[in-house]
Amino acid sequence: MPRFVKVRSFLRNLFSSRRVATDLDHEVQSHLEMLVEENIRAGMSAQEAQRAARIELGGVEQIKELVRDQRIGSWLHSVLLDCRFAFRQLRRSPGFTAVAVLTLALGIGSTTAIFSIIDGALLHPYPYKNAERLATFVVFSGEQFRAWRFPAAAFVDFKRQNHTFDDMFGLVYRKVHFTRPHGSGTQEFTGGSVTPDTFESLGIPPLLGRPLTAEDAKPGAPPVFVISYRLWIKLFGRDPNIVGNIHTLNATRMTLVGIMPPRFQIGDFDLWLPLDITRDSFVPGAGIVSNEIWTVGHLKPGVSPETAAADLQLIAAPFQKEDPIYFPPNFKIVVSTLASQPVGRDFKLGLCALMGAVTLLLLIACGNVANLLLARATTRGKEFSIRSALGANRLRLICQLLVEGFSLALASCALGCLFAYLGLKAMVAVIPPDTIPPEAAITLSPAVLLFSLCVTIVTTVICGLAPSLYALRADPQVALTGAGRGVGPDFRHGRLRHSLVVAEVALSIVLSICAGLIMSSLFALQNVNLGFSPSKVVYADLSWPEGQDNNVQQKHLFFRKVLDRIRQVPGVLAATETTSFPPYTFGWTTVAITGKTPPQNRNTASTFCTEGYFQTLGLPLLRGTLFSQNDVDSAHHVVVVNRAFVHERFGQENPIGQQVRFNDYETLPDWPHDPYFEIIGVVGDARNTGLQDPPRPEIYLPGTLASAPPRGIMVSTAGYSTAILEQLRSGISEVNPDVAVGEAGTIATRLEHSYYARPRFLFTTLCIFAAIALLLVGAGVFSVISYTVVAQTHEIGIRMALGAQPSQVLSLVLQKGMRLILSGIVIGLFASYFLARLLSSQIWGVSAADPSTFATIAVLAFLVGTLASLIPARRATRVDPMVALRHE
Amino acid sequence: MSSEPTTLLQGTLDLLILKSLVAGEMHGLGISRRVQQITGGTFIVKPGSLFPALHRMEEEGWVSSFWGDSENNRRAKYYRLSKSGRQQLDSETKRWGRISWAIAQALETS
Repeated sequence: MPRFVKVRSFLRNLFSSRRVATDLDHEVQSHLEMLVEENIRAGMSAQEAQRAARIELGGVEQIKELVRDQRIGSWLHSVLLDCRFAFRQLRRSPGFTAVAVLTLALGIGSTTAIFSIIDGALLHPYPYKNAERLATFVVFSGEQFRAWRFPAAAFVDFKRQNHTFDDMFGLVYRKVHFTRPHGSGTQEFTGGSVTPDTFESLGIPPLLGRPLTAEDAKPGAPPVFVISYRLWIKLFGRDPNIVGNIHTLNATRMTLVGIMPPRFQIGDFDLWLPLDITRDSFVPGAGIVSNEIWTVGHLKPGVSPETAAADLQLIAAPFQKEDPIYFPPNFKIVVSTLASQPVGRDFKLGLCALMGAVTLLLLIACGNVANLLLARATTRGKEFSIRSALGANRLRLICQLLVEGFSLALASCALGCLFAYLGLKAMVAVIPPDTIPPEAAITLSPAVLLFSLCVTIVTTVICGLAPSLYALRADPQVALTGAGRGVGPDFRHGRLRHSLVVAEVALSIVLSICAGLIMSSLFALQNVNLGFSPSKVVYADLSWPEGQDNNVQQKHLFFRKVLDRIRQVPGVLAATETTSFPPYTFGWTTVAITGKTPPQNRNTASTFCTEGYFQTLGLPLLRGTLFSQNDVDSAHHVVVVNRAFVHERFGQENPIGQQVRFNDYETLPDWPHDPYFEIIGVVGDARNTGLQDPPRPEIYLPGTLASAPPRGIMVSTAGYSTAILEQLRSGISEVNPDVAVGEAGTIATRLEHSYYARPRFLFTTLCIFAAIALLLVGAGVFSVISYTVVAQTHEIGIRMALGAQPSQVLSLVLQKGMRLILSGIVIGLFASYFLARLLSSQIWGVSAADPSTFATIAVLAFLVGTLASLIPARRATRVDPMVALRHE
Repeated sequence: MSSEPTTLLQGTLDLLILKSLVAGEMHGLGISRRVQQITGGTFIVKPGSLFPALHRMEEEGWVSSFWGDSENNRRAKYYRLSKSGRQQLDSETKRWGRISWAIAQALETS
């Protein structure tokens, strides 16, 4: 059983290595003694016999080494020894180890964090079965995008006649009024009516209960629905007992049959209802979009999107006549997989740029650590020389250095993953809404950890390589006779090391300047003067169930009652009904002024509101009067305009008393017969096309003129608290429990979503990385200057012995550091000047070459660099000339 | 494994050691002297070659070792041919026969 013998030897070599070693000692010793005996028997004197025996035996240690090399598992043994040695080395200099591990951990951590986002959002965003084959299609008319949802007849034909899809399911967007069982009001959610095969196709079982099935979609089946995980948390606080309860959805009583797991978010819906689509089906209660079916399916394995598109194109051809709105002449179907474009182009580019930045960071961290290791290798030159003189070959030395590098990298990997975990938490919290698919889960998945481990191995190689090259070059003869300081002349100049520091400084400058510019632009956005404090104005978008939404008087009565109630709440200053929530307007219209040529396009913002609107938003009255309550209640033909409107349409003329009409609104069913309105007042401008653009002309009309424009409530408060929103909700549900509250919150939350979230995300990530880069600059400058000081101790000693003052030594060392930092700063500023332009689409209110940002960052980097070189420089001034000269 | 004029071919040392152990168990010096003797002094195995080879062969399972007393009552490590060592010797001997025959043939051809 030779194999068994080998295993036994291997285990013995590994675990009782001491016994094996003494055994060999004894054997060699007895061999020697026997040789001596033999020689004495041959007639030699005792001394001569000893000598001859030793000559015949050769080097005892070499023999032992040769034997050890022959043993099974000797490589493992040497690796273990290397590990132990590396560990001892690292423990011996805790400061070095801490700096090196921290530096690498920052590099590995940031790469891991960004890779997690890329993996979660770009590579594996969808959790569904065979997600990579999941595809949808759109219609182009020539180059122009035409439609992404289709009528029922087209859907049915696509589903039945295609040869390129494994399955195909349809989803219809649907507003759902969800009435809570215990009279706490109605809320509006985004629901989806889906073909019942959706759940089976996507292949994700529900968390609780059951999915929708084909039975549920049959006519006459009891109405059921399934909710998303996030709605479960929001409405039911994870109560597992709600499955089977009956709720009122769009005034129909339906049974809740299932709760889907967190990543099941097809269509970004909050709840799913069964839908049976036939060629002439129409979805009741879904309004205008009833016919628009979003179609998704799995491509058959090996079928390309182009092939599928050609297949669908043939099926859709007959619809050119039937349905030219969706399938115009020269229409073209384009199929694309969901996975091919999970995020917008901007976000993808941003992520790639970030990945580039963190890779650079990692390389720089590696460079820093290589620097540190190199500096140590240089001072350890003598050790290496002795090792190679004792017979260690170069491979063995390199192996040992790599093991040292690897143990450093492994510790850094662990710490880096911790950093990545914390950093991810911070970054995911600020990822702007709607930028990544709701299905995407950004976590430290096994794939990410594997990636991190690969990064660690690469890091090891890079870090271990520099000192290895040094060890390869080391000539034992030179090093051992060279006074043992082991500082080769080529390493004193260390061009590579210096350019590394310059690159570090430059990169940190670029990152910091980008972060600075984003910060300035975020600051500018947050300081746009809206005329009111957005965190103190509460809004709630409302919607009415079908049948109740076209009676303007009833609606108005509802608002009067709710507004009266809310005004009683302490802390409420003013309240209004409105169709517009700042900083946007409800709609754009053409305004014809009697006696003037009408404008060609809809260039005037319009808001339907009550008299409280101006007070709620603090719009100052400039001329004339505002609406009175009577004007609104009786739907008088009066309007108020803003200053921009007067400026654009009247110039210096007096607008008060002028007649206007709204051709666009005259098609509304309940619009008054007399189309003329009188301008009674002028108010100050307020933002109506978003935060960034100046206010456009706007006109305010009494809300009682038409029922169609969707509307809600806006309340200005002395200070926002959730209690006010709750009061508002309960007020609404008491007056009319069927009215659903949609989006609600403060105007500030609205701004956060649409304006602050993106720059805040960029700012947070850039800030983290800029801070890391600055830290690395500190570590890099520190390591290089410390090394220089160590290498020049002798020279400094001579200088001081010749009478140099500590201040002169200090400036000598500092000058060296500053030269590096300043060149880095200059390069960094140039690079930023060109790179910041790429950012210009992301910044606002600040120039991409903002001098104050550039200057501040330059000063900051200079301070960090100087501080980092100050510590070793001060150490240099404390060099004792006597000690330094004896250092030889 | 060096000797005066002849450099041993790869694997020959193993063959010689195995062959010398056929006579019975032996310690390292004994093996060394035995090889010298059976090759008529052509091959002298120095300890630097002997010990690595012995230890390797022990790990291969061809020889086993034990501590015993030498002829002069000295503790010495003895080596003994194992069953698989004998098989190895057989196959090595055959191989060597083939090689030497082939070389001889080659050299005789003019």
